Amino acid sequence: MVEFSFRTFPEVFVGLKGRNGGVRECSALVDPCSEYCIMPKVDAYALGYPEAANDDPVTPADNTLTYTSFDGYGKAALIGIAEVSFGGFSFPNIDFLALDLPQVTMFDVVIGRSLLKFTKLEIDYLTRTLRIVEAKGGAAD
Amino acid sequence: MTSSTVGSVDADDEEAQAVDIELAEIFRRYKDRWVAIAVTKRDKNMQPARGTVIADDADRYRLRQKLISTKEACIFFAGEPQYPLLL
Repeated sequence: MVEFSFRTFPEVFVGLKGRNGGVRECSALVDPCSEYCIMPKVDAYALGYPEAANDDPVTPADNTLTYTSFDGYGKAALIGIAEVSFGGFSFPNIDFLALDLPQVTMFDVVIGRSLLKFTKLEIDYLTRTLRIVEAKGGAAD
Repeated sequence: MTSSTVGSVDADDEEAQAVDIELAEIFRRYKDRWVAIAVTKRDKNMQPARGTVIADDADRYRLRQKLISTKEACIFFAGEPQYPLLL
């Protein structure tokens, strides 16, 4: 079991390794209500996913996915991040949407169900603690 | 002062950017800014504990521009939302 303490929102630092070997580590909101993990398009591009930068509505990329949010319907590129790691766990080939959340939210990465489905997670707001009890990723250190 | 440095840390703090400091101190020094660090120490859960500030900016896209040639960076916002957050 791994424990993370958090301030207001359940968040952890996650390492994102792209198909070009580049690494971005970001503070990420853990959100079980999000179907997919989310990352900024600019980071997806930097990690070797140029298709994430295709905003052309006439000829969208093959991996474009339509999603529903509180803001209505939207479209974003679905990419497979080569490796996601946090807390000593690592998860290969995790689906992420390349989508720019408003920066006033202060989060640009969200860990959603496309990764959380490989974990048993506890969010304890009383003690402001996030626990990963089990994970089907690499073993914790 | 260019638009990309509006609200940025001053020259003394730019020198301090090369210094290895604790994460809590980075949050204090760079409050309400997007920060990129090179992690120099991690805690038992592999979370960043100390680091060297590579770049900071009030805008996350300008911060990314500063990281184009950087292969590895840890990015976060050193603050809290101004208003209650709904996602």
